[in-house]
Amino acid sequence: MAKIAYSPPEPNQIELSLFGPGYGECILVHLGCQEWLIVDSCVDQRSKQQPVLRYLKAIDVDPLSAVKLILATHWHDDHVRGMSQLVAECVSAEFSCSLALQREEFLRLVGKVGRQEAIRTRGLAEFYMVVERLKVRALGKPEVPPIKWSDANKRLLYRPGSGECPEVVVTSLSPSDSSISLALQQFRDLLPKNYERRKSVVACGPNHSAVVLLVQVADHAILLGADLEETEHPGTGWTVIVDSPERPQVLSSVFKVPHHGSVNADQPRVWSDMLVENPVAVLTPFRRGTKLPSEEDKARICGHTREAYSTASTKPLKQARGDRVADKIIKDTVKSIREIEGQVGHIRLRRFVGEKDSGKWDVELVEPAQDLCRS
Amino acid sequence: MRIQRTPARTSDTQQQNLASPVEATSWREFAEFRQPDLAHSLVIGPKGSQALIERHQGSVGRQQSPAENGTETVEFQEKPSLPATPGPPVEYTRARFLVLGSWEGVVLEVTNETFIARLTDIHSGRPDEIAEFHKSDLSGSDLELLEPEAIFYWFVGYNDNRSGQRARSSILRFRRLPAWTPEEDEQARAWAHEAAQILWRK
Repeated sequence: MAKIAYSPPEPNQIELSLFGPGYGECILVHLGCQEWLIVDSCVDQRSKQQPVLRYLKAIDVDPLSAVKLILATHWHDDHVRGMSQLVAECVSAEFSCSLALQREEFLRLVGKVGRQEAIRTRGLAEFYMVVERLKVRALGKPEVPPIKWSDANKRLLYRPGSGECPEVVVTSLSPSDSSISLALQQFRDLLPKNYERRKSVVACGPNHSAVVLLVQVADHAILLGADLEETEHPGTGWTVIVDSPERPQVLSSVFKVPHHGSVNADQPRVWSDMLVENPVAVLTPFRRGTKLPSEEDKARICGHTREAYSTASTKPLKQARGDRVADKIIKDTVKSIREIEGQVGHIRLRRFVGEKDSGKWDVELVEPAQDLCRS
Repeated sequence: MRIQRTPARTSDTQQQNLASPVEATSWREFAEFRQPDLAHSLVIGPKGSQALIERHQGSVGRQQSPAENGTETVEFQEKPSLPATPGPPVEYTRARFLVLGSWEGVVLEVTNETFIARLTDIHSGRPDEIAEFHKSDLSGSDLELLEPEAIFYWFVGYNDNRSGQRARSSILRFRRLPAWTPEEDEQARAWAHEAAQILWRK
């Protein structure tokens, strides 16, 4: 596998970098002219570092001034781990998250469960720290709205084109009103009742609060599918997005496949109505519990496009090695054990806008990232 | 003579018998192990160091067989005594548990015979792992606490008994956390209100 060059993109070059260790994901988009967007967050469990910050520093980009928007698509652990550190380091960036998270139902959940160190609910604990950081920031700059709320067809970022800098429009396509109502019901169900036994809070599907994002840079569009799933409820999921007359009617050439390629997040009309033919599809696998994407999922995705890439393999990892005797006791005690996350893979796509556009995305993979259709 | 057989894969005696720290522990999480009716002690060093679980009365206790979920006792006939082989005298010391690895686990799924959990290393900082445990390794009281999202500790290490014999051992213990209180509910409500005031510009 070729080594990628650690140099910053040109001002008129778009980049999408997807980082994923096998549990978690983070997306970095260069909007041109050294302005960046970060969607979700993950941490390298081995080095305890943020792959996105490590990469930005490696290509000589200062996250403090270059990152303009950080967006949390939803609150689950595999999408927000390390988010509070991003908020702390990228001080120029605005923060955006789902409108569903604005409501009291979610805040009470964060206030009650998220600040309990004794129970391992990492997604809520991370969100608690994000809110605490935003509170400090808001008190220092009372004139700036601390959070941009994302919901269906909301423009989050706009930059007019000038000189070498291409025009940029970032639009959230979800959650819909119906999805927000269902998400609030989920939050109410998750909120522990008084006198109930204290335990961790694990999110249950389907994910109604996820923010799907459309990033348009000059003539190119990128569709970031978050973890949005199809549901049986009308007015929710992908169907309402595809059918929406209010969304920007553009075809995207890059697609971050939703929910790790699962079948319940697949809506064939997304491929036919919202994407160009043979788009570049990228995804992160999910190796905790149910493994995604399955072989059927891979076949389905590769039936839609010839170019699909994953940040890591879905094959189970081996047990992390430690003390030799401890490992022997572990082996004798458990039925099975394996590491969840593993090494962080990196998929990098770059493409020029304007006259230098070659007509296709340059794809570079950093191990363990791999070609989904040829692996 | 009656001896206890220790199955290769088993919970340790101390799985049931972790008890009240005699010495002050810097890790308040372990306070939940207190069981005043048992004269054992748990001594925990700073994070990253080895932990020691000690038993002052030194009873052998029962071993649970994973297959039968009960004590497995084996009878042996006394043999005619032979001349003793010369050797160093047995030195009776305090029993202890030498921790080689420790994790905090969150139960993800419970099946008929097993449960699946995410493990976070609290000993050496190994990456998170996912493991499938046998339910038969749990004591009766821990089995009652087994449900998705329940939290437990898992230790593996050496169990040194009073006569100096060492056995490899695994201890799995579900946490006894206090129930949610109305006061915490009020605090959460107040925190949410304050966050909304500042962030949402209400």
